[in-house]
Amino acid sequence: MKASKSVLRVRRHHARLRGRNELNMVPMIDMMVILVFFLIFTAVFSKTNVLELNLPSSNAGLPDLPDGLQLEVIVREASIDVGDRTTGILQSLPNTAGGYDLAQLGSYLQRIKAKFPENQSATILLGPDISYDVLVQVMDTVRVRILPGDPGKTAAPGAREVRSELFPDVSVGDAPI
Amino acid sequence: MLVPFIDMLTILVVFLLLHTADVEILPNTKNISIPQSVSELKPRETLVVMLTRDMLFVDGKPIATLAEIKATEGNVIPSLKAALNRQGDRVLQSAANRGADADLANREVTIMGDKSTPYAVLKKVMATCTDAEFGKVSLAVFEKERAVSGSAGATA
Repeated sequence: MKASKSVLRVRRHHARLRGRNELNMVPMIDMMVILVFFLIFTAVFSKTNVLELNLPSSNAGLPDLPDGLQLEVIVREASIDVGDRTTGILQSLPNTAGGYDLAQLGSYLQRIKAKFPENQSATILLGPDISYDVLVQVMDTVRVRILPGDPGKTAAPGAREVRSELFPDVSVGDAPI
Repeated sequence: MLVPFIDMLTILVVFLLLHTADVEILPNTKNISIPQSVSELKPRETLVVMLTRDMLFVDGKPIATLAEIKATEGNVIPSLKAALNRQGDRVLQSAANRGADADLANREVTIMGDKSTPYAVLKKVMATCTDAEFGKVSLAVFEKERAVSGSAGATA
């Protein structure tokens, strides 16, 4: 039987498309390139975190001072003094050529922590011209001590450093003159 | 012919999508340089007080210049306190919506300060925050890049 004209047209149409069974990817690639550029320009590659402070509220008055050690870290222009509020300065760490001697401060605080393991709080007292950056660095040193992983056991790459908590409750105040 | 290209693009898109997935809570910090810290605490949605080299902003609105703050007598900056009190109602509202305890003393504020901000200025800003009954003050910092551990010492 002779096929009708319309059936022939459909067959011809299908014959033209036979063998061309791949998708047209070009519009998709266009969209992806646009997406990549958009994401690259909006991406922020630095993470922001926060440090919590322990500030007394203005109407709380003076809290009762607990017994025992009340650690004070006094940051001055030329040195960092570590002391106890009741007994006075315990150790003065003068600046090194590279600024404040935070490494010494860390190891000294660790010795204090070993003697008073239940003590959690410390006060950082700053002079008026000490910059915010120094405050944050000193806060880091007072809060945690980060040691590179045990040198004998770091054969495995990516071994995590050891964090030991020192005095995580940090408050901030004015340095005495 | 285009297949490897599409593969690369797909990988890039997925990588970038994952990196932008964590919601930006703190505003952009391109114009100030905030200090680095080892802190791992994630920022929460709070009121942001931004201290650049010469201006003080609350929620993006300029409040006072640094020179004004330095010249302020006493510890409380009046313009900042007024701005914080204006924001206070809104903060309480959002805290109540979250079902949190809308306690005055527990209102939070995040201070983003430029590295060079002197403590005298920072002290006044913090004192004003506590005076305006924002009890919890946090400082915004960049996460410090870690040195790759287990390197030189292990092989020596």
